Amino acid sequence: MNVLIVEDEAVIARRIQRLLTEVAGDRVDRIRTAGSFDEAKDWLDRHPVDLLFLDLNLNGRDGFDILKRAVARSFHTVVISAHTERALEAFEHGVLDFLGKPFGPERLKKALDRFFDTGRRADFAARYLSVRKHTGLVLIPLAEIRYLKGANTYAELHLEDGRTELHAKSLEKISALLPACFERVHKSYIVDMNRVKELRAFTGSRYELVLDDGATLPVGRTRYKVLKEKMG
Amino acid sequence: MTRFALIWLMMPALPLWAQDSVRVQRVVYHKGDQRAWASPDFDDSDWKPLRPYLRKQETYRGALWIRAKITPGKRSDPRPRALRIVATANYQVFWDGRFLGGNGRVSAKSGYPPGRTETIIPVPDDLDTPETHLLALRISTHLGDGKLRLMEPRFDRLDRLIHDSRMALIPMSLLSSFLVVGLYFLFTGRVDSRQGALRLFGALCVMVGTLFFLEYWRLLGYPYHLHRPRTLIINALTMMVSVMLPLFFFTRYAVPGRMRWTALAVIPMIWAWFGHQDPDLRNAVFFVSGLSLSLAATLWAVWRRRPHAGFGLTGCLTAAAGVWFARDQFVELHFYTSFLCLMLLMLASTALQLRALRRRHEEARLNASRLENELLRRHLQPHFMMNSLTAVQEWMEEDPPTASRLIEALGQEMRTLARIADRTLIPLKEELALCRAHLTVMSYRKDWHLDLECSLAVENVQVPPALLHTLIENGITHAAGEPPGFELVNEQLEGDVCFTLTTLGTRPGGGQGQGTGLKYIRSRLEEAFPGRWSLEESPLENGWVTRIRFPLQEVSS
Repeated sequence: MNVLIVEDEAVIARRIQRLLTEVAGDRVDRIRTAGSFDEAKDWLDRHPVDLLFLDLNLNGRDGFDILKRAVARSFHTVVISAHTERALEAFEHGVLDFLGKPFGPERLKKALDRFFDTGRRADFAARYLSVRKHTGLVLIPLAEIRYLKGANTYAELHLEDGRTELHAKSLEKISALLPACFERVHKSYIVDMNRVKELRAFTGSRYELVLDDGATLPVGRTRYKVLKEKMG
Repeated sequence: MTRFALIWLMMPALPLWAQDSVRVQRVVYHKGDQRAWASPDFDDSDWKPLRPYLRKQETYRGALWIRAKITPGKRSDPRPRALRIVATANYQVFWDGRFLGGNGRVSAKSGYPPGRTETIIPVPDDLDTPETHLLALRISTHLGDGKLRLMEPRFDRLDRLIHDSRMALIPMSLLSSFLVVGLYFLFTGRVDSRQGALRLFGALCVMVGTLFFLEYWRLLGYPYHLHRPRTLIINALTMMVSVMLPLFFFTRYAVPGRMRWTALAVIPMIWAWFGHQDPDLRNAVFFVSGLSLSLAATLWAVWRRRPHAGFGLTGCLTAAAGVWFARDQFVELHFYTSFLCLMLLMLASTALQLRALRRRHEEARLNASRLENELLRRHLQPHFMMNSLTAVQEWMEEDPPTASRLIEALGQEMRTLARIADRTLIPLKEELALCRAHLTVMSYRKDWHLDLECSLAVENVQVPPALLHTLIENGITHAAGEPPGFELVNEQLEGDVCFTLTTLGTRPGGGQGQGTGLKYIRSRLEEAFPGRWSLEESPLENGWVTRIRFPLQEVSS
């Protein structure tokens, strides 16, 4: 795992690094610390990163713009900030976790568990997904998403109006940020269950879902039972 | 303008009366006491004219008779008439030998209580015929200064005479209002040390109220031996009022050199006091000098567009018009009304000034508490507090002695802040201690070596709280990844002190004047030195220079 810590307080950056090494052990391959956003951006452009620890107030600048850009990327973002009053807002934008300062190793471990255990979800679900396009960042409300489809390391967001957007995160990573109504129905599909009209079973253990607009999606064999129970 | 109209409506009707054409002729006197002198048949050809005797003002204790021919003329109204006698003596009045009435016991010997200065003696209808009658006054003076003062008797309708003396109650009763207003301004006048005008107005109110009371007491009558002291007090009060009136306007409208100008009014007053005995003449000189100077002051104020100057000018013009139309009778008729107008306009202007002052004070107070709040909150807000705590936490685990030093510095900074936050100015020494405490905290947080290099020409000086501290805090916050360096220099320029803080190693834009930190500094400077400070910023290649200049105030030990 490659980690980038963005924090302008040297002692605090050192603390995150130290605790991370303590908690994650050899699961961490490389930790890099950046004291400014420019330095962080440089690093991200050139090196693969899996997890970003981000301080929201760097050198007197509000870090929310950076946060919005970070969550559109393929890696997960964990915010470490003194401004706990902005936690909910950060979660809504799709951060995996929010650590209020000061913090201890236990709290950091919880954040890491959330990162490693793909089945777990964030404390508060996202309300938007940031998508990076060549024109800039686009904020897509989750309410407009009908289902998500895995495409290699990316995720396709299928929207109400028929458009499709590509998100840099994998389906696994995104699922950790989504609210409970989004259900993994297949290894390549996550669906907003509020939009499901019907669950169909075919011979040969083939299953599918019919959405309210008539579209059909495949359902994994292991997921069918769970879905059946949930839908009554 | 509606305010002006209201005040003019409140002005009472001028007490102008038409008097019946009564003629008084051949007023003569003789010392001594004989009952026969009351008779119209008595031959008084060897008696001397009274007027020169009164003018001489000789001291005489004993009895004296005055005889005069009075021609009431044709009556225009059937209502009964009466004589109003004003004299500083006890007396009896005879009409064609018939006793009409009197005032106190008349005797060649002393020892009887004094009569009142004013009496109204009705004349029976059968005696009030148009032809000439003999009016005889039997007088004795024993008390007081022994100088006889006698006003020409007024023969008029009884109801009018009574009405006139009742009218005196209006100005007299104003004493209580003037006292209330005056004492209010005297006691609450110190809203602002620069506003002496409020107290001057308070003092003027008290004096004018007393002056009205004493002046109009005459119409009700008082024991005659009090006449001399009353006149002297009125003279002194008029003089004081006449000095304080222009002084008030000079102060109120901030005319430069007010004492010098006021001294101008005192010169004719001294001349009148020592050069003339006539109390009415003295009062007139006092009042005219004071009023002229007040007019000049208010005219200047209107020309220089001083706030509420129109009120002062209108008031002075009203009083001046009163003088012009009434001339020598000014004190009798128009004194009260025109002066009341002047005082009301001054009150309006002063009340408006007071309101403006209160508002400014309120704003300043709110501003001060806002600044205090802002300073304290800046250090209780999560960014500072939580980051410091996290650093403490890290040092505790890594190197406990450093954690201890960090906590100490943090305690020192918070303690100093709490102590200075509500003050307008603090000694430079305390400010520097605060800066150093903050630098220590930040050194441990950032793991940097931070220092403030000082080269101070003026050490004993007061600065607004957290002035330099805020600049240093800004410099650290906007540091470009390297530890910033701080150099502080100060020097004395004329009566000012000029601080120059150089911050090296900050991002460009880090020192821009729009930040909340600089807003705080500007507000603090304005609070301590309204309009007398300057703040300049200029960029360096890798930092900022901030120059702050304000009046030098030494620390009082």
